[in-house]
Amino acid sequence: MDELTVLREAFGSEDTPSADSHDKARAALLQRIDTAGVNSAGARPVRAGRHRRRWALRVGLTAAVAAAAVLGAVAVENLGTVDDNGKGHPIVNALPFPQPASAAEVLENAAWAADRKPWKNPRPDQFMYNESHRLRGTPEREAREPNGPLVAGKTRVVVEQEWKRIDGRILARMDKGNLVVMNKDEGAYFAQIPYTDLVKLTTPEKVLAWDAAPKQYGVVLDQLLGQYVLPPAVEAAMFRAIARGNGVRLNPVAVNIDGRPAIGLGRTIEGYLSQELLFDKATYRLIGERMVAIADHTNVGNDGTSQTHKGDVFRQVTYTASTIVNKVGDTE
Amino acid sequence: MDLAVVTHPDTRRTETDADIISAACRSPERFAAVFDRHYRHIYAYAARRLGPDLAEDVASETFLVAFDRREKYNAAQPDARPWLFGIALNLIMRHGRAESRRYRMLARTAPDEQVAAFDNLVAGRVDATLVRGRLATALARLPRAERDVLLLVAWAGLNQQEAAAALDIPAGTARSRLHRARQEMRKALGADNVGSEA
Repeated sequence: MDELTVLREAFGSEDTPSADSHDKARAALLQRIDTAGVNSAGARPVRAGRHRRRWALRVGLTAAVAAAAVLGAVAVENLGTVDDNGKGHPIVNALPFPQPASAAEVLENAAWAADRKPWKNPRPDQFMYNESHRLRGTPEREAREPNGPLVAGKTRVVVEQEWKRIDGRILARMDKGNLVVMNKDEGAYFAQIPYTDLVKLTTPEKVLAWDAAPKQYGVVLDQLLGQYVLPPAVEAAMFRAIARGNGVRLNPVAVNIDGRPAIGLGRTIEGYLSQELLFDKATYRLIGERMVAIADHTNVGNDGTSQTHKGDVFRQVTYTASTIVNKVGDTE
Repeated sequence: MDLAVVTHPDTRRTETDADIISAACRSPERFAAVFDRHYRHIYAYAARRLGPDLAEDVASETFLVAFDRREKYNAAQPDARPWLFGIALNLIMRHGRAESRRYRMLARTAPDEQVAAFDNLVAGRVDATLVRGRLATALARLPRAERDVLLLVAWAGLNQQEAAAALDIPAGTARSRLHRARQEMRKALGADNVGSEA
């Protein structure tokens, strides 16, 4: 089961109101209705069009504020060598934008490169293999401040390896040297976006329509690319769809990841966080993502108030492998 | 000659919430149908966040407020749940301390949870109630804005767009808040502990 299901089940079945509570509440409402019935005959609801105009104005203002935000540049610690395995993108000699000057141009380069990666459609019994290096706080620090930012000198690198079967029946992870396999046919429950849905997303229009459609599971396009192994056309369409989103900005200062120059694209979230995608500067391959504070902020929780400072890094993940394999445990 | 059959559709089943609320602007007594459809769900949501005593007050007050605001209801929204949960949330917010106390109490009284590794949960080998304490602690720690989106999805059964409508925030904001909240829950469950140190 995923964390939403756990959350639902952990707190027990739905509470049911007592008959007494129900009757009292209904009686209170009927009394209010009786009182109102005398005075409000003939009233009409507000027209939908008026409501929509107000909403559109507010969304527009939000987008303008986001676009005006200045992106913070943050140095990235070296994490080791990114594994190209020769399976990544070939060196690109004829990019659409050899010297991209905007986020849209970088994403078009990424889409162009993605479209040319080697690919063979996987069988339902094959697996997506994703490997990443996640920068984490030390166990002591995470226990003391689980929602806190990463602190220099108090971090560790955790290698995450995951195998997802194309047909969605099996999920496996490497955990502290042990291979943990979960099989839906043996009672396991986990959420996986149907691959058959993903492979249909071959244009930015289709991606955006799918992204906007109501779903019971959450999808963040930026991170989906690091968690699934997608066909070239789908990956390219996702980059182009991201380019059409509001507020994606090119980080003006080249960042450094794994000792290699990288390009950062940021999207401002809630006015103080930047969700950044990191691209290899030579191949335009997506090599990671991170979340960094670009302004000071105060967080109010029931358990107290905490401060976020500009420059705080909350998440940093480097993608080190993304390929189709034949069985759990295979890495190439 | 074929007989002409005239049917009378059961309007109680086909009417949307918007239809009823619109009708209640002319005939206020129609609003009782909104109560009958949704009271139990609003109560259940409030009870999970605040406990049964306060839930009774919040659920009752939700429908009084909704009735008073029925003329401002957006008739283009057939389902009134986001609107009702939005009203309920505003009322729940007044009881922030009570909610915090409830999470602390749940954290203290939760059963031994050491055996409930995330992979065991995923595999369906252990009961989710074993991790209630961990989740309660994490919920108390979450920024309120993120907790509201998370619990509207997890406990009220709204999707992201409906949660955004309930909170009157853009869908993208709801999405990013939900994403961060889910990551915190995963962290609390130890899901992020999967992996090997390099």
